[in-house]
Amino acid sequence: MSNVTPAFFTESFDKSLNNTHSSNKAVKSKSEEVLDKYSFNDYFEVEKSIEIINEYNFKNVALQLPEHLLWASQELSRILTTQANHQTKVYILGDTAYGSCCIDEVTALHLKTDFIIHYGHSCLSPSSRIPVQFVFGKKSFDIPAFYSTFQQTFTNTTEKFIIFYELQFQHYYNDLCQTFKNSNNVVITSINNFNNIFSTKSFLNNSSNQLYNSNSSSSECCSKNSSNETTCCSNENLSESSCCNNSDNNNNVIAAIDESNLNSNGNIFGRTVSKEVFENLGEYNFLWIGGECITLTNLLMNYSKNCFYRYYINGDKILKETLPRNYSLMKRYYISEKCKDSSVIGIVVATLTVAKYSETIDQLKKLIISAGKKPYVFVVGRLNVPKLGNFSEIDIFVIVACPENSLIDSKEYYKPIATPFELNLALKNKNWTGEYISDFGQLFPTLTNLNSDDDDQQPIPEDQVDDDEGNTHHFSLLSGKIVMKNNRKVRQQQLQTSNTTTNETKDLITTANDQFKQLQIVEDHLSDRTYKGLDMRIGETPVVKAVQGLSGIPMHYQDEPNNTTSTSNTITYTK
Amino acid sequence: MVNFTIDQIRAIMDRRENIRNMSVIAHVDHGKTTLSDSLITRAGIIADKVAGDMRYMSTRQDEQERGITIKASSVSLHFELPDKDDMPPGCTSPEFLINLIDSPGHVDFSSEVTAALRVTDGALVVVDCVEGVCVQTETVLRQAVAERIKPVLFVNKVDRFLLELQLNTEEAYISFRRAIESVNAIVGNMDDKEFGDVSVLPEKGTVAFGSGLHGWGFTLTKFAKLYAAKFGVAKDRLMTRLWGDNYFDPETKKWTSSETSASGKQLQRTFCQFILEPIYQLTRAVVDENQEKIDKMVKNLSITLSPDDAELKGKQLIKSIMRKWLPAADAILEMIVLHLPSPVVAQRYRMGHLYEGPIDDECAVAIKNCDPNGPLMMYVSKMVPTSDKGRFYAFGRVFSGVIRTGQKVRIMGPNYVPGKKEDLFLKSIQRTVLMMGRKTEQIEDCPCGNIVGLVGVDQFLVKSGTITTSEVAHNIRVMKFSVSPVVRVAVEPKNPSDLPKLVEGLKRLAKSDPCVLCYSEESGEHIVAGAGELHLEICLKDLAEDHAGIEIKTTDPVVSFRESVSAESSITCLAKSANKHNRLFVKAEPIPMELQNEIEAGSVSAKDEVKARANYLTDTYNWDNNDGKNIWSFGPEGSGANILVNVTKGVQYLNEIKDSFVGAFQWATKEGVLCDENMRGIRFNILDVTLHTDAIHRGGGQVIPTARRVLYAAELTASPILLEPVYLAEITAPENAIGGIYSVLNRRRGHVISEERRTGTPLFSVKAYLPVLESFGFTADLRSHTAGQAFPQCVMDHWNSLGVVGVDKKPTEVCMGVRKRKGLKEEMPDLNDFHEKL
Repeated sequence: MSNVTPAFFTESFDKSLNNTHSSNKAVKSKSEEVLDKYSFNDYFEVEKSIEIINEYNFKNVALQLPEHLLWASQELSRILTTQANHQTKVYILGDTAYGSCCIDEVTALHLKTDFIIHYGHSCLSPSSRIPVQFVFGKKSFDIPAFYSTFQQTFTNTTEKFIIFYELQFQHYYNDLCQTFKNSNNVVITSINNFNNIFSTKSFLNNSSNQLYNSNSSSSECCSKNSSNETTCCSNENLSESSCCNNSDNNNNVIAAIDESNLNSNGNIFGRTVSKEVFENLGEYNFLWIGGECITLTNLLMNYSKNCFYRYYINGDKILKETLPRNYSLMKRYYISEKCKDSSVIGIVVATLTVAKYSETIDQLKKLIISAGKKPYVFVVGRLNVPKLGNFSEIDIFVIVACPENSLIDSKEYYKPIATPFELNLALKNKNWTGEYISDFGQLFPTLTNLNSDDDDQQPIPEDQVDDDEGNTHHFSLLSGKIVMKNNRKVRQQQLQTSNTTTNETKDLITTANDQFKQLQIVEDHLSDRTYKGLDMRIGETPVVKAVQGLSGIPMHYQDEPNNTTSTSNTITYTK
Repeated sequence: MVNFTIDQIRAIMDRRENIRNMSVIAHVDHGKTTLSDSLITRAGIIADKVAGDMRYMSTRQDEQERGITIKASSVSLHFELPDKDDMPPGCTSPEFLINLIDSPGHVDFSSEVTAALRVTDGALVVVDCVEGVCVQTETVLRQAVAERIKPVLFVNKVDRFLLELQLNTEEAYISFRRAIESVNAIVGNMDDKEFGDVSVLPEKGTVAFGSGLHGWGFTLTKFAKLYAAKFGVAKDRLMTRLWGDNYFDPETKKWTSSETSASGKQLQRTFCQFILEPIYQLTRAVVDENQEKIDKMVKNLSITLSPDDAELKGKQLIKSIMRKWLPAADAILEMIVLHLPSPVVAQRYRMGHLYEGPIDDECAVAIKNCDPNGPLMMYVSKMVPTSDKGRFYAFGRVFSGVIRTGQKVRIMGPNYVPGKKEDLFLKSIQRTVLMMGRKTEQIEDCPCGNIVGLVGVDQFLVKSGTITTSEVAHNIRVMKFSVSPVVRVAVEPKNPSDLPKLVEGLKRLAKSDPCVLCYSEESGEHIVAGAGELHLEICLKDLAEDHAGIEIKTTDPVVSFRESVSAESSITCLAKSANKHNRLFVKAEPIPMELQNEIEAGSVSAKDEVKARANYLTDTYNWDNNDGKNIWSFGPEGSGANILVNVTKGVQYLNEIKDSFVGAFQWATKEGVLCDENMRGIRFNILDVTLHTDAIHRGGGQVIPTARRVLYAAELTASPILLEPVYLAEITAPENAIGGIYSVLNRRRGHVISEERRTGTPLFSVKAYLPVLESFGFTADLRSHTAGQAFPQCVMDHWNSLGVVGVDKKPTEVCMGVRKRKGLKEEMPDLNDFHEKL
């Protein structure tokens, strides 16, 4: 019994409509294409899911499938409902409001589900509320061939390597470990198929601490993917998720974690390595197995100082991967510089799942206000060009999203989209040393440092100066102009206020002076506009009685003739 | 040498009539810097040992090494008129302060000259008498006159006539006259009543002749004085007789204008007879080592040679005798003092050209009168690096009021609009300094009419700006450069983590040069753009060594292109908004080149009054008058040579989307569809618009991307072309090198537009158009093909079409090349991505 959930937005409306209309034949051909040589159950790891559901007695299970796997949803829900022991209800989450890589906790919570099975590509961002099983799907590749190529390419055994792979190769993890068991210089990252599964209350109440303990002790770096896949669910995950629920705890935890061992469990974009490896990452060369994808780009960006290699499955070759790195870093630096020039900044919320997102938003707001700029928060669901184009007063957007959705590099957007890291870099006048953090979770401790950053201790860039009114200016290379930055005095006052602001009153209290300044920013924008609202022409137009206006939805108003828009648009989204 | 204290200089600064601000301008290698040096050696310089220190004005090491001037540098000279009777009207003291700015002669550094001209009132134009007036002389001279700078002429390298070329006196006279005539041809055709006649005339004493290298020179005044007693004729009358077709008939002892004497004998021109002949005789005597004659002449001229000098032979002897007889510095300084205007005089006629505001407000009046009691008005024309890294002296001229240390001033950048806060900064002056070549001297304050350096305002100005104390002050007009930065390179640090240092360095570089353009592109590339290869080379060297202090990588020089169209759009382009409820219909058509140039020169601009502009467009370019009134915008940056015209009739809600549409237009014209280059010369006509009745469905989000797409579609359907910048190259070379020049030009798609012989010299001057794209390595190539005899000077001249992109081979290749460099897809943009079917 599959239930249909109301999807907020789908990846593309037309496509999904077509999918529903497509015949069984199409599904079959599609399934063959996706499944490769694996059977349906094997590919979707159905047994594992059933096992878990049975073990933890989950009542409501949500299946989250991306667009290209939606065809499998019916079959999956059929198998799960029939084969699970209990009266398990299965829901299919159409597609999420943000990205299919993120777990759609909000929708799942609406449905009161206690377990989510996420299919397809994932960003592996830590979620906070509901246990999740990730099913990545499977792709095959030739390990011996890879091994021999590896041996041929890298004859020097003292060079250290850390191997990353596409999610769909995750099922080869054990084989890879086996293959490289004699090479001490090679570390293979593991990927946890489960998220939060042991941190949920239900689990804790089940008094399975024992299990947890035994696991954490055995989960060194390459913990075995044993039957129930209880790999690295270490302390850190626990404390992270708890800190999200409890903001009092928050600061303590954050204080304990400084930047160097921020993710001391050795978490690199959801991939786990041992602590010691993680702390000495600089010594390793990175090897990526698989095709080009955002994860790879992210790795390249974040570890730009390491040497990168990529194993091409099709060509069976290992090549150095360098090309876009410098280039894209420079691009990001440009955006960061742009943040400095902006006076109105829009915070776009593009996740409601990733841990600490709301705290991050609050910190960003504080950061922006303390820099004398005006923040606005937008929740627009899945990003697209027209949505952001509606806010032409915004100078730059900063996106709070999972790492894989953060780096938006499109020329189509009217205003650039920055990441929290870039904003932080720009507004705190930090000297950029070439590192990059695309995960705002890792950035969070730095963000909260706002208050402790003393203005006097920071080296002020040489081109930045105060004039006699206390305004700061800097010379912008982007516009070639001197840009006024902020009022320092006001900034200090704000800092004091924001210090006293308690968590309960998160709505930022701003001083009168500051409000005046922010009004000025708005005023500047308005004065540049030529259209300032309706021309009233009082006295020139005759007075008329109120008339019946339009009714219906804008796609097609009821009193409009029925031939303008294409018919496909009028079909409501049903499945 | 006289040493002066700073206090003495400061005292003269208050006597505005006794100040002369002047720049030395000329073609490269015509001897500006050498001449300036001889002036400095002569004049009292504040406690500095300059004796024997050549090229005092070349402050940088590379300037000394290369022997060319790169940066204009300023020095204050003290000069006392020897003859008090000559004192110009209004002067109370024979002591004068001459603020001299030596400027670079290479065309790549013309912007430095422009910056120098702005702060001076007079110009000493140096012309090599052998080479005559060259392209750069012409360029800077035109600029000088446009700025209302009064020129005086120094005909340099006369020694070459005597020693190298061995011309006779008549030939020498002819080439002098030709040099003077060509200067007057440039300055004379100015129709400027306020400014008056600025022609240089030897008989008026505004032309000097001599040799900067040998340190001698004279004006007719000098000889007129000499002969006045002998002939018993007044000096002034004698001067007119010493130039031109004037002869002295020894038989009748009369001045005549006929070439022959009463008895029919050929006469020598007075100039030749009385002025050149003695010099020639002296030279010949020395060359022939006729000791007896030398002694006699030396005695006649009442020169006392020191024992050391008497030992000298040949050239050295001539040099030392001539220096004693006709010291160049005296002649020139006297000419400057007597014939160049003081600030009081100059500002009266310069004000109208300088000040943007109304000509009767307090600032305008104060500038006009050079009033030290009026509000402070100062123009900062360039930044001079200090010893303090990253900081600059703001170098400029005080036009009215007094600027003093600690004074609170308003600093107004070029984008300042009175009444608004943009580009306006309030700040106190930290220090005021006097620029003395390589050195600076601190002074307490500086009254109007003087050139001064400021400490502590550099960070509020990008390159130039106005400094004032008046709240109603408008800007002093920004400078117009004769060169534009067309050659660009992308720079990146060798080590990626040095990126912030590079950015800081670029900011410093941007300030240090009036012309260089440094900016970050959206791709993350950092671009440095210069006027030419040499300029760029110097800038990059500075960037790596001084400003950033890091190792940098540079790409090959790239040229910026412009995207344009060559026909009207073949179809009416349509784009629908994302929600399909709004439709925009647009066509593109080319704008005539003349109008493009007018827009870029600012004579047709967004700021114009709408009706007047519409009428002008109707009259001049046959625009429909209504179209002219419905110009929505110029772009990119609100001022570029593309026009968005609304030709729709009665479209509802249209004014609501205007801002969005204009925004999209600015965006699209900045990054054209072909290869992300600026557009130029495209007129977009909005033919029709259908909008949704609900305001929420025709917001910016729906309109901006749609408008951008439809503009792109219009560009693509209008036979899009690429424009490339073209240099006007002037090449001077002897006849035997002409063949080499032609072959080099041919290979580089250049074509010759004129070739003429410089009369009286063996040199030819070839003018040619050369695409900037092909100009890299041109100088070196030319040298190697002409055995180093040809020397080119290139100035950006115009934009030229490469052809239709997608049809012709060359522009398509170039377009793909640019796309590749920018990381765009290497294929022609597909019209279907932009245009939609109804």
